[in-house]
Amino acid sequence: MPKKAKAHASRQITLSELVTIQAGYPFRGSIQENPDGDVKAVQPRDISDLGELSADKLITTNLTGKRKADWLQQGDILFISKGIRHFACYVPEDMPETTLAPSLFLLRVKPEYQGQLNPEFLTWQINQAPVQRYFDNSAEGSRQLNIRKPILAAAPIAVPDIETQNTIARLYAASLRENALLHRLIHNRQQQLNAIANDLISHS
Amino acid sequence: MPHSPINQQEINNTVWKACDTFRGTVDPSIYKDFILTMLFLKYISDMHQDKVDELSKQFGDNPAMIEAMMASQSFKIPTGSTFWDLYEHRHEAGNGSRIDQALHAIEEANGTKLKNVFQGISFNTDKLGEEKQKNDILRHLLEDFGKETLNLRPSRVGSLDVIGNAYEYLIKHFAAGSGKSAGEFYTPPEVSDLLSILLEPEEGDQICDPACGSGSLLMKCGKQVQKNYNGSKKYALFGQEAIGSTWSLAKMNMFLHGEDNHRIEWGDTIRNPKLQDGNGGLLHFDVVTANPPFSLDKWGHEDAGNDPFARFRRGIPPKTKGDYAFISHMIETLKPGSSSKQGGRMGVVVPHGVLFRASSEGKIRKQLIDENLLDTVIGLPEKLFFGTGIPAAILIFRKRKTDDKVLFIDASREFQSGKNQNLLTTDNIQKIVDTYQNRQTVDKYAYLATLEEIQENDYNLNIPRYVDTFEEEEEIDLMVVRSERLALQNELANLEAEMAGYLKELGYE
Repeated sequence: MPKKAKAHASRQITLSELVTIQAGYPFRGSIQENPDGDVKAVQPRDISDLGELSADKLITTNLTGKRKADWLQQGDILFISKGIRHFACYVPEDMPETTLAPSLFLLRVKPEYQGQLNPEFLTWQINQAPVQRYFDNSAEGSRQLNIRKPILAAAPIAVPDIETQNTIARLYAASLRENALLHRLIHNRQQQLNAIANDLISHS
Repeated sequence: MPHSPINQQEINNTVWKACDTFRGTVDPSIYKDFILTMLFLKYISDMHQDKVDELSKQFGDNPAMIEAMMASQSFKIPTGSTFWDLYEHRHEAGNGSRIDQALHAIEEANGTKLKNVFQGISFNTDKLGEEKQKNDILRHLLEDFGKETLNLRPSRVGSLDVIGNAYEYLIKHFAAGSGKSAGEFYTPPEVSDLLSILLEPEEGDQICDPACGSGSLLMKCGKQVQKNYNGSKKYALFGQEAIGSTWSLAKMNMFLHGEDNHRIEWGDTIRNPKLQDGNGGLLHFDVVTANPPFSLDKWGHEDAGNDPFARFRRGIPPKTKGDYAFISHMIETLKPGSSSKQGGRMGVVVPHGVLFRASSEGKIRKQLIDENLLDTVIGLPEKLFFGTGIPAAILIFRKRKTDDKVLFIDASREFQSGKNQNLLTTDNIQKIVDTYQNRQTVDKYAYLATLEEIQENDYNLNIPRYVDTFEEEEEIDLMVVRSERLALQNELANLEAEMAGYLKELGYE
């Protein structure tokens, strides 16, 4: 372990300086599943506790509001603003005809920061303890905790140089793969034990 | 004056809004009676007024003639007792007693038809608060029902169903809103649909629900005859309901749905069965169906031993669980079959315990099976019923079966999940009906069991014993699992090295 961590030259900045923040699409009422619908919608349940997007389970629905919807683009960040989890999620590829529920915010890197800010890195930072602590202190509501847009906008973000960001983003991506691998190992062990149990019963 | 076309949603909303007048002041279980009674009064008043207008056009100058013609209407409303008479006086004190008087007068004027229907309801009650508040609430109520959207004249409504639907809408909402207690008077519509289709009521049938609640299951059976016999109304509905206010509701519901050929009795079916013939024997029916209260405590065990109708000759159900008391009663009211007639058939909704509980219930169950009365067992999904999450089952009995087998259908896994309640879709229902009618084993869904098989299971009808829904797991090859494990470990080691590299880059090593 390091005696002293390398001090990264980074500056603190509020989130809204780096990204634009848009509310999710104003669906009227709960989002109704409609297999013949034209669009897909990301809801909080589609975002894992590690900040991964499970794109294969998105429901198909129709736009019920008046506003035009934003389609998700590669590099977007989704943020769960309502409920007990306030996680960010990185959108790894363009997702045409896919929008987001009103309980999510859409964060998009401002043009002036293109190339200077790695959105995957930003996603990672939002999900880490310091920013999460900031949300815990600012969440409002008793049952349904809510992070309002101004609160999200003022979240303190540390921005190191782009190389450092990229490395952290790669480390983060690797950690997600590691998590998945470990789960497969657990499943694999379970299969092994099941096979032994089945053998026992069928040969007795 | 031409009337705008009527819209079901609009009516439902208006009536539901009228409930707001009561919310906060009285409990839904109480105000539902006020709302539903007022809807009934409004409907018969509008119907009345419609007829008066029509006759006035014809015999404008002859009030005696009009009066005479009105006397032959299906509902008679004495002068001064219509909804609009009450509405006119709404700003004066005494709304409560005026409404009560009007209802009483209507009851009197209609002979046996509406006998006692309004006796359980008093608008002039302290439950609505002190005199002034009570008067205000009732004035609001009259005004809500006086809105043009709630103009229920037949000339505007066209068919009876709009009111019937509003009635059902309210009952359903009350059931959903007032939780457990309301479960007693509402069977989810898909379940009554399913029962009414399975039992195939025919033209000329006498149909009975001995625990009829608000009567929706009975009316579904009636609709089934109408649907399958060209709109025929040649059938008769019979019912009995223990709770007075629910019984009133069933009566009003029947009239609102145009089911004039009914006999709905008020009383406890087990302790005091009211549907008797002239000689004091139980009436017998072609179709008997019910969703009786699940595992009713204090169902009348004390007197069951000397039941004058010998309904419990197969055994006396346990003191604290009335399920088999209702089943036994229902069996005893089935018409016998003959070579030409299929005889009585019955469908009853039961909690799963009925399928496997031992001791006295086990004995009754064995007897019913040995007599070859049990036809089909259908397991339903959980969370289908208001007020209880437990899964229920439907038992079909027949006086005259075509074989000595029992068909088991496991329909518990196919449903549409809802927020608080699960739903059976039309497809789910159709699959159950098709399977029931084919009466054949279907892999992982249905099994046609012989008597011997049921005996081998000690007459235990637990559905998984017959319908094997266990999904065979793929044969696991230990060698494949092992090599997969090695590959995963290898991958993990590479990842570990990769991550160490990143950490080094970041200065952590």
